Amino acid sequence: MSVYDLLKAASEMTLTDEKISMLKHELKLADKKFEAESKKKLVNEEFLTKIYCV
Amino acid sequence: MTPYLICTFEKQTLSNLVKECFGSLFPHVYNKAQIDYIFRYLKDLKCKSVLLEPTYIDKDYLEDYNHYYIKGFNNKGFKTARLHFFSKEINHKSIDELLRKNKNKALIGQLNNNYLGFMIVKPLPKTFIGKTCLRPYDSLIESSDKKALLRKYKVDLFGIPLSVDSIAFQEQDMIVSAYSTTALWSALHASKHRDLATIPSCSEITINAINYIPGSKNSFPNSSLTNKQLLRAIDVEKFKHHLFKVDNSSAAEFHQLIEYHINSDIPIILRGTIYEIESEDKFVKKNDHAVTVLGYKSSQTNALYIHNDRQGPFVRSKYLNSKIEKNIDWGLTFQDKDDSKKWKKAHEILVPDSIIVLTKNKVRLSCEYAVNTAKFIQELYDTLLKVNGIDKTLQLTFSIKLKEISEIRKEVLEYDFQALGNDNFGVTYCQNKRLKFLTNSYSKHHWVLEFKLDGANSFNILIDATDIPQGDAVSAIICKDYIRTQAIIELLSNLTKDENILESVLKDIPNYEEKSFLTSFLNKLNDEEDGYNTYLDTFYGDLRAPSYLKPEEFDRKKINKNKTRKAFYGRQELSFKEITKDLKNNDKKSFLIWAINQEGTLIIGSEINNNGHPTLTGFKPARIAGELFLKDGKYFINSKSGRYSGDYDEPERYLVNVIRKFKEVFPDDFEIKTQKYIP
Repeated sequence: MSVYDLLKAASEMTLTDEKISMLKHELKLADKKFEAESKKKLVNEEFLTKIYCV
Repeated sequence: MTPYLICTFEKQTLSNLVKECFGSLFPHVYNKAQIDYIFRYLKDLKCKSVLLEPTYIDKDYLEDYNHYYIKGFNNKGFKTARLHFFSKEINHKSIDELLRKNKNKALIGQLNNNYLGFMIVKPLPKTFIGKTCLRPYDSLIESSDKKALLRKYKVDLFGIPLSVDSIAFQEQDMIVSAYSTTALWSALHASKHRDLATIPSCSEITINAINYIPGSKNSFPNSSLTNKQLLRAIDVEKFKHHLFKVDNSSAAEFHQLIEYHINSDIPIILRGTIYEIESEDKFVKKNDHAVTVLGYKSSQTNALYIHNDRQGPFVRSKYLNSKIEKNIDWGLTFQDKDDSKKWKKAHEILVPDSIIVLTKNKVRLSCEYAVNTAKFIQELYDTLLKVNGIDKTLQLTFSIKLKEISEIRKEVLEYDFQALGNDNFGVTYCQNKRLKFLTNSYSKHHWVLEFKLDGANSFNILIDATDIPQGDAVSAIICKDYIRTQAIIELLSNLTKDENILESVLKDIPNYEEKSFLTSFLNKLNDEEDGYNTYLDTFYGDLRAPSYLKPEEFDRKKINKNKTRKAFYGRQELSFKEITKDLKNNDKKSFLIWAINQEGTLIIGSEINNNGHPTLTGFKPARIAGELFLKDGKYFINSKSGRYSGDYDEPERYLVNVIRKFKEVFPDDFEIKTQKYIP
């Protein structure tokens, strides 16, 4: 696919109800995954005061 | 006292010179891991000679001495020694001759070209390696897949000015500094915003990190700092710190995070746990550690370049994928070379736990929000293609960099839109966007998200790094390739053009909304294309201040008001015929003046006593302006206004829209034509 084809496809695109619910479903899954990953990266007091020693 | 000593560069001569300084035991010096590393490193740089400056006052050691060592009964004083390394053979005779006569300018040039750096030797029994600045390998500077942070260190050798591009390294002395302190000390050296002369010594950093009680020496010996203490020490140095927990990140994610910061000239402190590699699948946990990350290599085999106080400066650290513990499947090895210059098998691995980056105080947003925004745009792009059954043959990729606005503007000003792949229309479009961008005002620091479609430059998104997480931080979208940018905008506008659809989609992805500037970006897309000001600029020209004021137009410091002025905001009762009833046909002196003001209002009046357009607008910025007159029984408008229309490229294209405006405002049926005005 060329960039022109993408531009043409994008401008002719119509978001039907079915497509919107598919889009929402996909993004919801990605959002959940992101939430789970964010929790693992959360910096809390315990992490801040963790003792490092030689 | 010996003023200086020069030796051929060998491991035994290097160790002997160190021993000579303060009487350290030769085996301690010769067998020291850091000396071994520095020797091999310099050997790789083709070091030929080493010069010992036996007495040197080092600011950092002087501070450490003052804070702790002074009260030791057996202390060996505050003076240090300094070793200089050259990739050229030098001898006493030539240096003496140079210093005596100062005639051999060529030799000074040669000394500079062959200067590999220096190492301070502290008067401490075992941990004697002080500030050490060594030139990095040429490949680290020259390879396109590598990037390293470097600063220029100026050196005065008996009056001979030398310099070396490096980042200072030193080993922890295990008294006033542990590994975390030396890691921060090197990071401060690598921060381009910090004057090298003002960087505190390790003892000062440690004191700042802990809860300091004036006069207390109980802080030393110091074995390590917690993250909180390290952040406190950074606070004291007036830097903004950003802490990232990376123990659950993949090696690829971690490497990307390193890339973003090193590309932004931001040094990184990396903390983690050391494991000894007993065999390919057996790792023994040893201790915690901290290093300074100063560079990276991004290729098939990614690597980092670090200052590791257990080894030396610019240590190559490769990724090792292996089951180290239940939830740990990668780490970083520290690499060393053997006598035949081949990489030795790593015997230790560092499993990263967290990284701390130092930015200027004003940079309040970490790269996290920029990364999330870019990832979500990518996710939206991929998902929109997927639900519409379009093959994802064109990949949307991004890179992120923190830049100052002056640097961004300079780069944008230098873009060659034709070379970036635009056709004539695209060039004009991008140039107009550039003009708008360059003449707007912005905050000093921005995260720049550079998007590529199918590997080619497309557009940049600017996120104001001084904003707050809840802010509307997307400050600009810079178009580099019209077609590529338009393809993405068209695709995303399927969401943005219907507020209800957008709202219902965003409602289901709360994390995307909260932890990124996705909404700010989508709003910006709408602003860029549909804003009222954009419409006015396009239809009636950009705003122009009146270029000058005629003497007749003001009186006693007051600007005259045109009493005949009438403003037409929209359709109204007064007819065009009524307005133009006094115009005389084919009389050059009979005309009305008009202007489109900042808000798009049509203003009409008469020119009385040479009082022109500025008296219609109240001397405010306005858009296209001109005259209305009767010629051969027909109405005409032109763009005759020296003060407003003078420097539009093609004022005639706005006149067509002004005629539409006249027809919109006046209810009667009439016809107006345009006449080109030639000054």
